[in-house]
Amino acid sequence: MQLYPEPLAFLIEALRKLPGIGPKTAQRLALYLLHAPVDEAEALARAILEAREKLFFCSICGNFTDVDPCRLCGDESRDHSLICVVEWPRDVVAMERTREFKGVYHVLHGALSPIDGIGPDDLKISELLKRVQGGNVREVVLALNPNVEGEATSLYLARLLKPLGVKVTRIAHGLPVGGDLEFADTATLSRSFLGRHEI
Amino acid sequence: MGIYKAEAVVLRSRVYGEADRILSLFTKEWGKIAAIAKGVRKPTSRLRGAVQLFSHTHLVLYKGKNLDTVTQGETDEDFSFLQDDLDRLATASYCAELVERLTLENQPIPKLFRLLLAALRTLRWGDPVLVARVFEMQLLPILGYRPRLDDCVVCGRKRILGPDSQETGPSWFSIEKGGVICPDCVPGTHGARTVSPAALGAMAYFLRTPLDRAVRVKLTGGCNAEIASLLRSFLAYHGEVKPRTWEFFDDLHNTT
Repeated sequence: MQLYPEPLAFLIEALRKLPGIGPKTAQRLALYLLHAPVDEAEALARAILEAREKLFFCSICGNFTDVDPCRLCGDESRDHSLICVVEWPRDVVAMERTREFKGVYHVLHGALSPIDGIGPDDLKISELLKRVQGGNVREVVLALNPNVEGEATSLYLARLLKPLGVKVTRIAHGLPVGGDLEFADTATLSRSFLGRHEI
Repeated sequence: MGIYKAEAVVLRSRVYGEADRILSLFTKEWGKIAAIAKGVRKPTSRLRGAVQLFSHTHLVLYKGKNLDTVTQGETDEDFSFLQDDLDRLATASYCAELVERLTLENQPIPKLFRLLLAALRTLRWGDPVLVARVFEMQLLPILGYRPRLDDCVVCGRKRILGPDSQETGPSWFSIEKGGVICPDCVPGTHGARTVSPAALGAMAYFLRTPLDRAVRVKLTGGCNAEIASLLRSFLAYHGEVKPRTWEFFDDLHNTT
């Protein structure tokens, strides 16, 4: 028995594929879109299409962009000899929010993960190597997540980059701002101890 | 059951929702369980340290309808040295993947728990390739797939293994039948393949020797490749698994 008219069933099915959306939420969203003003639904459809059509990966850093090179790579006021390597485009946003970093980025689109079958060929590693080989790079900052996959990827990258004669650094590990020593795990605490600095 | 305690190894950890992670845990008391660790992607999470991938940890959980929730945890061993070497990490991932895919939820297998811990501990100093081979070999009897290496699986005729063996040439092995076969039974067996005496001897040694001692043997590259290929087929046929880490291993060795 068909519960919904076909176009509605298609819409629910399409929404269900989104992360975090189950069958009930998909149904609620679909029915909402049908009740909403036409232009709201049209704006959403247009936004999706436009984002897909106009965005692509920057040929230099691999981040999403609508112009090539992207706005960060094309910015002459930034330090192009300093590259910050991150896992995902959202990490670029997190770093930019600090307003501390004035260099450029490289987005790997993931980290090495044997259990998920993600190997070096699945990440934008060869692009990074080409960039560094191209010269004019002084330092590569590895800002990958401080978990098993991120650390392993950092180490792998460091091994490939160091022979190219470039300085390779890793962002610090330690206690979170506003945290409490009592609840810090041993790994974090011992690393924060190693990374102590004089004040 | 409500609230319960478990000694666990984190086999797998997937990002879920805003700041949560869904964990696949292999526990000593309850076997494999799926649990959610809430808020552990936030830097201020108290739980975060206790649920890192591969860590051996003592957890307090709350029974849920589908997923249990981790409420407290304390790390026993974090195996952080795995991060320093891609080959060791790959082997640890491989062992964890085999455990995850070959066990059922809520089915305690204390022997396998001990084997997994032994493999992770041995990875600190042992050759990761050998750890993988010995782990595969020792996993089989625990799960009920022990390959028969001493006498013919078809007719049961004894063959002698070891230094006083009369046989110098290769022996025959059948993946489907799950062990060695004597020359007389080869014609009637589908897909029989040869296996060198060295590989057969090593496999028998791996079966009867504790992991941390077994990995001290010296294995030639050819012999390792032979055992690896045989065990891959064996696991694929009997365990019906094709681990994703195999792809990673191949990938890694093609690029480096």
